[in-house]
Amino acid sequence: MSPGWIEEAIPGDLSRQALAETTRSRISDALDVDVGEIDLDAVAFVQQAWELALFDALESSDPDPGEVRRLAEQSFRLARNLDPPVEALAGARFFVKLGCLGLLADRQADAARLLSDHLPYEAERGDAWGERTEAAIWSSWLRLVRKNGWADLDAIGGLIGDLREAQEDFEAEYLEGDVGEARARAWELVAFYHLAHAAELLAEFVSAGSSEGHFDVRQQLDGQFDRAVTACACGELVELEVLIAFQRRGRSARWRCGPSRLVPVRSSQKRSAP
Amino acid sequence: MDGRSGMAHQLERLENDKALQGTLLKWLRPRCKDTEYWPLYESAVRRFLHSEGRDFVLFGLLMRDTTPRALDLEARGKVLGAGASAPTAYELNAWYLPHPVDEWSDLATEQSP
Repeated sequence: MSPGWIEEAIPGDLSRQALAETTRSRISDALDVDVGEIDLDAVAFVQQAWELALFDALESSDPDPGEVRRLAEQSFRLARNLDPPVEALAGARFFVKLGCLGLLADRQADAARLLSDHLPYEAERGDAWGERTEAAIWSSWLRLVRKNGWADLDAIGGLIGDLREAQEDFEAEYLEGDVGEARARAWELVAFYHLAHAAELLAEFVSAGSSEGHFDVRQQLDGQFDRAVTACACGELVELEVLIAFQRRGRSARWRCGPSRLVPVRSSQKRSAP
Repeated sequence: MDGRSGMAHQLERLENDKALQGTLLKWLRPRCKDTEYWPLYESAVRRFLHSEGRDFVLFGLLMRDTTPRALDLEARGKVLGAGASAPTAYELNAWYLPHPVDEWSDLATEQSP
C-alpha cells in the first residue's frame, strides 16, 4: 500500500470539477452574481475523498506533517463551500469538523473567521439532557477554535460548569426515558463528559499556560480523548467516534499554533486586551 | 421498517449521504488495518472512489419474531429496485426468529452450554 493510494483513486476529472465548482461558488458569494447551479454533490463527494485520504495519513504510524497539511488543505477548501446540515446539532458537528480541518491545514485564521460568522447552538432548558450536553460540548469546541477574545475562553468554563450543576437533576431521567436507547445514551454521555473535560483543560491552558498545574497539556488531553473514543466504541457511536478522531488530531495543531489573538498568560499577570 | 429509525430510512440515508459514507469508511479503516481484511478494504475503497461513489451494495436486514412472509420486504424491494442504477445494488434480508423480541438481548449475550 503506497501512502497516496487514496489520493490516486480520486477521479481526476471529478476532482477538477469540484474545485471549479467551489471557485464559482466563491465568486458568486464575493460579487453577488448568479453563476448558475453549483454541483454540490460533486463537491461533497470529492471533499469526503480528500478527508478519507487525510484520515488515512493521520492514522498512519508516522504521519508526515507536510503531507497532513496538504491533504487537510484540500479537504478544507472544499468543505468550507458546503452547506451545513439544517438540524442544529448536526450543523454544530459540521462546524467543529470544519474547524479541525482548518487547524490541520494550518489555516487557523480562515477557520476562525468562518466560525465567527456562526452562532454556536445553545440548547433550551426544556431540551433533553443529551441534547443540552451535546450543544454545550460543541459550543465549547467551536469557541476553542475561533478564540474570539477572552469572552470565548471564559464562556467555556460557564458552559461546562452549568452542565455539572444540572447533571444531577436531569441525567437520570434522560437515561430512564427510553429503555431501547438507554445503553447508547449512556455511552454517548460518557464520551461527551470526557470531551467537556478536554475542552476545559485546553481553555485553561490557552488562558493560563498550564492546566490543573501541568504545563504539558497533551498527555492530559490524550487521556480524555482515549476515554471518549472507548466510550464511542462501547456504544457503537460511529459518527461521534470519527469526529473525535479529528478533534484529537486538531488539538495538536491548536496547541502548536497557539491562540489566534491571545498568548498564554501566567495567572499572576494581568490579562491584556485581545 | 419505516419511520426515522426504520430500515427504509437508514438505507435511503446510506445511499445519498456522502458525509455518512465517508464516516463509515473512516470508521472501518482502523478495524481493517493490519488484519486479513485490509486488502478487501483497500480494494473496496478504490472501487468506490473510481466509480464516483456508486459502486457499493447496501444490505438491509429486517429482524422479526413473526411468521415469515414475503410481503414484509416485497413492497420496499420494488421501490428500491426501481430507483437503483448499476453499479449500486441493494440486498434485503429478513430473519424471523422463533423467540419474542424482548428475549433477543438475553439470547445474544447468553453463554453457550
